[in-house]
Amino acid sequence: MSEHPDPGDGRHIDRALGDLHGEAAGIDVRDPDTAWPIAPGITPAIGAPTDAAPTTYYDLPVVKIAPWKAYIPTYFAIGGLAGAAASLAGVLELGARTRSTRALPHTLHAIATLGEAAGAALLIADLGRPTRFHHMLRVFRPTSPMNLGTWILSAASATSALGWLAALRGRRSPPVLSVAGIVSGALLSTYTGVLIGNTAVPLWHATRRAVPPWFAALSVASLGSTLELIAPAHPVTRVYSIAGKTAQLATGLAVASAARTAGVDGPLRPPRGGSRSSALWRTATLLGAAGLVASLWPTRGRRASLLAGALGLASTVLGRFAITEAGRASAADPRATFTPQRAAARP
Amino acid sequence: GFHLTGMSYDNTAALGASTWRHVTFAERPLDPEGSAGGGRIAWKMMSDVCKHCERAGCLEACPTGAILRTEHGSIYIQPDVCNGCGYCVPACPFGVVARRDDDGRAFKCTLCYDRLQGQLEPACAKACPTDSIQFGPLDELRARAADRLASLAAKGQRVRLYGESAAAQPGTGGLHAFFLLDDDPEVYNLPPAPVVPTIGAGSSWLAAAAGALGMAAIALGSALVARRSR
Repeated sequence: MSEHPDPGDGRHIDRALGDLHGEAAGIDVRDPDTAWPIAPGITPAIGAPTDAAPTTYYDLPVVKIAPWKAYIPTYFAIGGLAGAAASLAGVLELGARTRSTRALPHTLHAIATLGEAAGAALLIADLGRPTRFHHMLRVFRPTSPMNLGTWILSAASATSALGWLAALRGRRSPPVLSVAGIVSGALLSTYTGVLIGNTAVPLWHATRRAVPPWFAALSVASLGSTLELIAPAHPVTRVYSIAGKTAQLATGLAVASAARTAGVDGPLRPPRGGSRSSALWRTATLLGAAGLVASLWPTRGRRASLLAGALGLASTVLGRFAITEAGRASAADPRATFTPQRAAARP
Repeated sequence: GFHLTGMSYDNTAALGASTWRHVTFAERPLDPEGSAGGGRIAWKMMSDVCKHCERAGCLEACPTGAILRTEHGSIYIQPDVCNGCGYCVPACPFGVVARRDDDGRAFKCTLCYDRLQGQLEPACAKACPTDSIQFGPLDELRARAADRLASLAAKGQRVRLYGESAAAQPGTGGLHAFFLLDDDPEVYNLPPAPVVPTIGAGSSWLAAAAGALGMAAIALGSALVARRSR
């Protein structure tokens, strides 16, 4: 009879006979049968039977899906909105002379600070070991967009909080703080585009130049939509919103085009029957166009602004989820990896 | 004919957080579909593992600095530093690393770092009964591989090396764990031309800077238009 009871983790190691040392010893194994799910809940978006690269390994994925939950695309949306708010606040502050013209920057600082705090909470919640979140700031690693992003989020949070604090006290922000807010806010809204492009997921990597400007446009459009909901009468709202929504549609077209050129746009435009990512993409695009039309509509009124804001906000949030879901489908499809690489290797 | 699934031998299906070495097993039809050849099937096997790339996507993506290169040239994830962000997982061009849902951290082949510290060869090389898995200094292995390639090619076999040098695989700078294959890489679920995602990050950051400038420009333009309308 062993004095060392089975730890019950499924590995059935009798501690009297065998000791656990080495790299694999410290792994917390609670569910050995599902150590790694192959492709949880994903049906690979396999292309039409006339694909150029017929060989795959039983249609199993070759690269892996990012193991992120819904916290991450939600963070893209909230962080983008916060970054746009920080940027616009800084710009308005630099030109604001009277207390009344500082009212909107005050609100924007609040949106930015709260959004950045919520964003940090979302990121921490998604970690596999949330109590070790501070390890993100152990190093400064320029090769990793996620590491740079942690520093950017920290800087943006600090500047937004200081800006909000100054506004609460009725004081002007010093110009250097406004400039810091503009820069850190704009980086906060765009680095996430670089982050997903810096992966082996075929669709994300192929659109790595188109997605960061699209994320910037989504951020502006989402802030414009928010302003249409909370400050529709402010002179900045309408032109900012129209500019953002127009940029959103234009850069969105560029993303789809980049994916199509690389031959990996299957998740965005599937064959009949649809897929989750293409449905999200289509809906986001349609809502974005509808939101732009609503913003441009000549008859101004509270209800019109609310409609424009709601449509715009919905389209920007769905857009974040669309590109994330499209990345999952792209990673699950081995042909998306094999075909472009094989085509590039051919002379 | 047979319903080929590969599951008769390969029930792990891929590398992952627990399957640090897994054997790809492909039942490859030798004759074209519908031919009179009798449906011959070849069994192709390849022992797949973390490639310990010269330029490693996981290492360059890791934001905590948990992933580092050891003194033995291998890539190692420090389990006491990793906070389970999972960014290394999609960054690997070969789909090697995975994050365990129950533990939270990312794991992969360590090249038996603990055995190497004790001057032992990795367990897989030790265990392999046919000495298919070989361990040693890279230049020695490359020389052995070149000899083996030449002798097999002289017998008329269609063989090739995969990832044996930076020249052969510029996207990863060459692999510290490379392979001798007798078919296309895709048959073994290997990407034909893998590229570390960080190559090409420069243009992505430039695009982000352009987006950032665009945001600031829209903000400035809107502010100016608003001022004129007061």
